[in-house]
Amino acid sequence: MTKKWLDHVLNQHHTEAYLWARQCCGFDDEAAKDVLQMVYLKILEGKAKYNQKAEVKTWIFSVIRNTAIDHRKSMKILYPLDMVKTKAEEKDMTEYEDYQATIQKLPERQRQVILLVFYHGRTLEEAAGILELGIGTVRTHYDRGKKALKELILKTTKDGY
Amino acid sequence: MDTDNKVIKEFFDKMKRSDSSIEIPDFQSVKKQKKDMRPLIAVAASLVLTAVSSWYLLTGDEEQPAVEIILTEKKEIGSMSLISTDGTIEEWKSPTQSLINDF
Repeated sequence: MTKKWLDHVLNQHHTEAYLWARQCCGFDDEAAKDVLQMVYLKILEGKAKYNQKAEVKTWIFSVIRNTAIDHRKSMKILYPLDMVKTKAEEKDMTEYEDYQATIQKLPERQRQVILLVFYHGRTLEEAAGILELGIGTVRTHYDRGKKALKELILKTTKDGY
Repeated sequence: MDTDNKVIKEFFDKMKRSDSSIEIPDFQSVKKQKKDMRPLIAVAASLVLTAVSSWYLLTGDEEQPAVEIILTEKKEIGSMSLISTDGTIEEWKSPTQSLINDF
């Protein structure tokens, strides 16, 4: 595993890695950039090693999630609460902020499982690997998350979204 | 179950389309390490502190005389006994006697 190969792999998955980092950081662009930079440093300096048990992208996503948790702890940020918007604020939101606000209403674990499966096309097994959870737990979050998100989507559609 | 998936898939398709307008930072710019200035500042501050304190100690020694004699007028200071020995043992009263009487 040369540095050149790692550089190539990171570059290849950069866009998806950034979007996942952003999702792990409560859709905060600056935090996502910082987290991704830390991730790249960890990987290129050999602090995070690829053991070839999972797909490269799954491994990168796992490193991103763990780094985002550390970053959040160090900055003492509570994204889910900070990002909750009131009805009045919601009216002024751009289109992508509408989707973000809807997904942010899900509990963190459900949100991450749903995003990994539906947005990033990961399997439940891969999601379990990334989130360091058992497959049974992930399946539970997946079912509950799907149900909750469907209700939220139908509610926001009914409210004229 | 299929309708659940359909609604959610449509939601994420739209979300992905709207996310395509998000500005993704360049890979090289993200990879480039930001210089953390804190260790440099700490080293510089300790160097300045060492230099200032050593200069102060060196110049301070030159200015101070080796021996300093202070002449003061000698006064006779009498020491007063806190225990009054006037009177006989029968006349002696405890200093806290009044407390026993009053309370």
